[in-house]
Amino acid sequence: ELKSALDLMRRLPPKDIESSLSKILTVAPDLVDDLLSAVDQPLKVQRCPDSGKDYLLCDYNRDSDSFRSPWSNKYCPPLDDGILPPENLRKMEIAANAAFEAYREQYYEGGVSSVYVWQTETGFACCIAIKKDGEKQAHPLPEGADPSTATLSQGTWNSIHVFDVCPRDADKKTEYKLTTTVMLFFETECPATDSDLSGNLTRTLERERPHVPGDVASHLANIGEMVEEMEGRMRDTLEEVYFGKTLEILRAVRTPVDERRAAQEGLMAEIAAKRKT
Amino acid sequence: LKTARSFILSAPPGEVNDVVADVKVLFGDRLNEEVLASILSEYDCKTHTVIKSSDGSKVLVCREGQLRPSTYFDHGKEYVVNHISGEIQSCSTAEPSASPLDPFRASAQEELDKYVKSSLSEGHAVVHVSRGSDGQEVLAILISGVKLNPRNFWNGRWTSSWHVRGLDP
Repeated sequence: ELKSALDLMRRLPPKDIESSLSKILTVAPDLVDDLLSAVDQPLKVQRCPDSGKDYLLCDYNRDSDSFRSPWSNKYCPPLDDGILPPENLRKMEIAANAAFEAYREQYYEGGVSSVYVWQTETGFACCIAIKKDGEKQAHPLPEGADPSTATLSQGTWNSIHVFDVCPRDADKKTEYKLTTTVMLFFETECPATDSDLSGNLTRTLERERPHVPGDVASHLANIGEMVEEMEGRMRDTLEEVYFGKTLEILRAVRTPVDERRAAQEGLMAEIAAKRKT
Repeated sequence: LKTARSFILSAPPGEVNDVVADVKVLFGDRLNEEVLASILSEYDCKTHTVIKSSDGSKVLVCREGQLRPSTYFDHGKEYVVNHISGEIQSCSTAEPSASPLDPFRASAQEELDKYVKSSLSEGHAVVHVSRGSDGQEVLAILISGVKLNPRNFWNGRWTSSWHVRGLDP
């Protein structure tokens, strides 16, 4: 049953991830834990009542129906016995949130970022979540055109980086395994039509790096470097798939001008003939 | 069951059978043949599914071409279609239409066939005379082109429908 649900989530329109997931859960409620941890949902934002800052909600800072703020380390809505990271990891979490706030401001000029750290058997794990809602922008219109005919487009970027970190203090090396999911949604509205280009992409990266035992900053440097590299790669891949590949498929379904196709076929026939001789 | 219907109707091109298989696992017996057939006939009409028969002729499934449940008109023939298996069950010559707009329909169909051949890969188009909501007869043009490449994880579909009003026979 889980396999079918996951397969369904991969095929249904990405912009409906949330509603599709909740529909599946009404039909198959016993899949809730498996599905929530396996399917990445678009990030939601909540304001931390103590610090007044925004933080992101994902499965990694969730306990039952409450979410832990990385700024105040408290659950909202409040929980008596919510899971909290141990003291040493909380220190790392605070430093990581500060570091990624700077990263986010540099690359995204806005948006919200949150980092969550937790203990694992072989070391620790952390999740870096970044969300940016682009502003609705109107495309440039020819002079004198009616502003209400403008095409408006809006995009939202969600990135979720999950690290599995296994430090080996003996030889001062650490293995970092990164799994990143980026969800990108583009919507365009114009009087004639609406269009939606959405999807998500998941990639992994494994690196071994030296670290200084007991020094949080050395882990942060390695983690930061990997996130930067991964986000750059994903952004390029997304651009290629969303625009390049989509255009290619569109051309395959419907050729814009038959003369162009005839010319292309003529050229290909010429090349084929020359190759034979 | 509304959920099952919404899932199947939003299946991407070329993947409807996979979606139906998944939905069957999740919904079990609640999704019987009758329900499935009606959801799939809605899906086929919405996406202008084109079904090929063994002799190469095609039928474009759409509301405007529906003569009776599961029976559709295309290029002078009547096709009985099985929506679940996606196959043509039988095909017979249709009675000629008595509508005054029929000459428009015939010549539009001829031009459209040329257009489809040159512009759409694996495309098909059909012209019908149908009655609009105001009781007036309109010329309905339905076009559908699909390019499937599941091995490379992509599928594409082009669907368009045009209604022409105010033709004077």
